[in-house]
Amino acid sequence: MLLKYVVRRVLATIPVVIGVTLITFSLMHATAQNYIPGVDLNPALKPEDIEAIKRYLGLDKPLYVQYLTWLWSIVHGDFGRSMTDGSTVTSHIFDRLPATLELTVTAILLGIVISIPLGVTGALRRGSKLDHSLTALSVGGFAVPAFWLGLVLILIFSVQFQAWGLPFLPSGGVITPGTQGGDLLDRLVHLVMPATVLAFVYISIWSRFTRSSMLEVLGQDYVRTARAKGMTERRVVYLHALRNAVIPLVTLVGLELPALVSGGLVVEVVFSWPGIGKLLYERAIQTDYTTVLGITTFAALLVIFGNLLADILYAVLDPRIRYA
Amino acid sequence: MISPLPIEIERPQPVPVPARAARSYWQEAWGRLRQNTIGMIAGGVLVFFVLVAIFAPQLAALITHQDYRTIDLTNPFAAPLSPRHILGTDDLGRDELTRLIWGARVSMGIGFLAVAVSLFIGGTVGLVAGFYGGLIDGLLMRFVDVVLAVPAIFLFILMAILFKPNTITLALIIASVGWGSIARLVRGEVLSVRSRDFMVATAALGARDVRLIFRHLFPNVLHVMIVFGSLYLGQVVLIEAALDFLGLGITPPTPSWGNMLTNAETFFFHSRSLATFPGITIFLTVLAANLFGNAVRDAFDPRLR
Repeated sequence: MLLKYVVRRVLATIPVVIGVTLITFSLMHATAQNYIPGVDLNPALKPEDIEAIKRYLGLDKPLYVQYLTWLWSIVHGDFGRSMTDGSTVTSHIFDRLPATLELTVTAILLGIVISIPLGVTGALRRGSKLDHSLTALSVGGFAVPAFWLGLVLILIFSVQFQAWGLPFLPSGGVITPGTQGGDLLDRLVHLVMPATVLAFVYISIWSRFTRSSMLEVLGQDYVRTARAKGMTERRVVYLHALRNAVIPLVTLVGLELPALVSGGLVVEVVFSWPGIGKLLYERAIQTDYTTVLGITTFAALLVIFGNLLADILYAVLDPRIRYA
Repeated sequence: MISPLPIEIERPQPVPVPARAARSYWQEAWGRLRQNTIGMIAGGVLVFFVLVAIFAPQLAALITHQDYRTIDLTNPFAAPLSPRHILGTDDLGRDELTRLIWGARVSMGIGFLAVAVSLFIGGTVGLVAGFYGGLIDGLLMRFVDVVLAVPAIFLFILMAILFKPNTITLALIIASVGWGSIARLVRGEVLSVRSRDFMVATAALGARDVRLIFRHLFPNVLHVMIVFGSLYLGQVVLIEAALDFLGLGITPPTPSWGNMLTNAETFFFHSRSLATFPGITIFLTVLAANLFGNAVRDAFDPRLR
């Protein structure tokens, strides 16, 4: 039964992969045409040489052959070359991916670690002043533009603190320029602000969610039974109720997995964080379409396979889904 | 013939139920919305920003007495409440309040246009896919999957460099992704409404598909679209401001709340207000949109409160 479900899910993914790659390929064709990086910079090349290069690269073949060749190279992990400097997109992606993951994973973890206690506190003291202010904070937090929050934090903790002669936080980058990056403290100091900004939205959404989920669970019969048995309130809340209250949160956090690659783009640009998002932004400004589309294809495929994996994992964990 | 005994049987008089006016679903929702103080205040703030956007030229002429383009290099970084400049001036001596007022046009215009287009396309796709099912449904929904699989911000940036957008094209760019989620939601709702008795009865009476979809199905899924639309507005304002900030959306000299912040960091020591006012304006707008959206959702479905 599980196998049947997995096969069905994999088959359903295929048209989506074809759709996404078709769209990016046609965009690539429409924007970059048959441009070959560097040929217009080399005066020694005669028109027939360029024709020969095009033949060698397969650019004279019909479009569907080009599409299939391109798809085949993507299967082998080759996302094409930049049309401005000829460098391979795959090498750029692997250069930048660690920094992006460092930022987004930290933000998601921060989000989980902070939002659950906040949500539980709100639920346990429902209607109190604390609960109301937590609610207000979360509603407000959801409305703050991330790029502006980043800007304000930089202006306060980097610029103003430095002006006042206080210890200040670096305004951008992963490590202090000129160092090798082996210093953990240095990395943390650079990570604090961007990760906080990115975690801010997660905290405001997830804490609200934990609160309502917790309230629902606390009203259920088994919680009353646990209390009736004379179990301490602490045990009831943290051992019995919380476990079931965070299950829906797992789904919600899972929905953020696609954001692991793309979610931090604006924050990366504000904090000059050398990740995938900043790479895409820089290349977009240079109108380097092939790199932008290569990264986009990579990110989209990652999202599709991430969703597929999540669905299969759910089916393994929760047998009810397999039969739906 | 014996006449029946003239016994007066004391029947219990029906207790008069307090008259409850016959109210439609929409009137009830509106009634609940009206009682939601926070929601109504938030709605008022939104209306205020819309009015500011509509009457920007008049406001600029009558209140600030400034043009958003007028450069005055002799008076850059004027502090707020300085003579002739209520919120001060920017790095080129342009009046900050006037630019904020004109910026409302960009944010509100793109916000409402993008939401409207998303609702129109997404609603139509969701209605058609859900109503016909089968192959049409499969094709349309796979297309939605494709659109939603590509990270939205990457698509926005790509289209922004391709099209060098103005207000209308930027709204269309944002809507070109936004319709996907609403299509999914509407389709789900259609699936549950489609098989209800009234639909079967109308179809049995010989109503055509177009009539079934727009006259009978559409009013029953409209509430999903209204709730989504009012919650989506804040998101569009945020995305639009971020694109402007990155220099990919509406670019100077047209003032927008996002592009007014682009250089704020550089001029921090000259003027702190340049970094704060546009940000606070965006925050207030998005906050109002979200709170209003929540109130609309609660009004349509009180169980969610």
